[in-house]
Amino acid sequence: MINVEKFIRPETIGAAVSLLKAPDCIVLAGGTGVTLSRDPNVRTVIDLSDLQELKSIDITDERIRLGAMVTMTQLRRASGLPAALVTAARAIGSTPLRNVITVGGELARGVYWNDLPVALLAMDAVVEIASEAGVEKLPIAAFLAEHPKKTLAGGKLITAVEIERRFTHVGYLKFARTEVDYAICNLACGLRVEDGVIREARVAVGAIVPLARRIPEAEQSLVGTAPGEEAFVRAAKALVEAIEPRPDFRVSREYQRQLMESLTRRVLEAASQSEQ
Amino acid sequence: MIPIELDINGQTIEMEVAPDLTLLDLLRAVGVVSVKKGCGEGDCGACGVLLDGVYVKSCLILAAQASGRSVETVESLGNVEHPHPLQTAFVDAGAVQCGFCIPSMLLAAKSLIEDHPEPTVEQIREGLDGNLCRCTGYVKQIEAVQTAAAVMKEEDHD
Repeated sequence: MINVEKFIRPETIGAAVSLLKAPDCIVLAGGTGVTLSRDPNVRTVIDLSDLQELKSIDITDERIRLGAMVTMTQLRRASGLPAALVTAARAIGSTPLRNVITVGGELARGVYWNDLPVALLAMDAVVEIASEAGVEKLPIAAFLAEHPKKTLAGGKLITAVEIERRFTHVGYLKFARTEVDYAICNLACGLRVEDGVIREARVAVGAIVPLARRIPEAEQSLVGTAPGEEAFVRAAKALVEAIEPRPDFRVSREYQRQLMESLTRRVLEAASQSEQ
Repeated sequence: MIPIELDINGQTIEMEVAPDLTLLDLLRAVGVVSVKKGCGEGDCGACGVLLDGVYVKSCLILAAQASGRSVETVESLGNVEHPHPLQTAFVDAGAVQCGFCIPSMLLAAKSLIEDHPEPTVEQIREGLDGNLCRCTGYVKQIEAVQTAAAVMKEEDHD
């Protein structure tokens, strides 16, 4: 913020995205990541706090729509959301941080410890992005295929996240040294079980990798099997084999591998026992 | 410099601020020194304030971002002659030792009691999870919040 000259609170999404075209802009949502920035290239702060249309949660039996400025506390308190989503929101930081951290900020920041993107990957969420060219909807896996900074370059603004309630079982787990610490590993899964068989599976991991991502090897090992210990152990092994853990000064690589295996089994077990 | 207007404990101030000035540094500069600067980077929670009634860490809010909004600090809660039930309960429970974390913790407690007028221990622990206290073991603060909540419910205190 050292060279900032302008601080603008646009009143419409249109005004925000037209300002965002300038390369020296930074978007301010909750501010937990932006406030302490020392980036000398940032000249303009675009504060989204007046955009009321980004602050609502809409829930139906089929879909969930979360505005980009919805806070983790709002998610924590909302009724009718999948438990895994509420658990992920609760896992983030502490109360005063959850009071300001937003859905859009969790997605746009792209730091390894982000919790929400992992849960959203397991639910096949779709990220709604506005720019001067119009509105595009990007599956979250595609959104996270590159660092969000790249994905959002050129004046793009996250406006909402949509979740189709397709999975019958969804789970989320964060592992950290303390409740308020950054995750060492977080894991989420989404299963669509029909007639006792897993028809579709999503397994996503964060913190132990530089950017949250799905693990197709674990997903494929689950499809067509019956939910249960045997399938979950196999999926956990597939996940561990597919991941090269990010170096982490807090834990050894051996520890990371054992952790991923245990957490994968646990999250699948927990999800399979919960109805969404 | 960025012009801002801010309500601090019922008083409106207008001033020009540097773009990187945090709400925490602004509050201390204008004399609201109950708001403590511990870590300055969002960990310790000694700088907590209520911003439009929401409990936040003021080191992670830019002064310019707070413009047009209202800030409440512990100065607005009560004073020695007329303490707020939370202040009385914290003293009575022995929840205050060095006191550095307490102004912020009282605001966190006020906020959590607004959300949960009869808080469980679990709800208190969650509501205070952003406040580090290096003197105590948090046990007395939890007791104090429970006591204060009961008093506030009886008195219909805000």
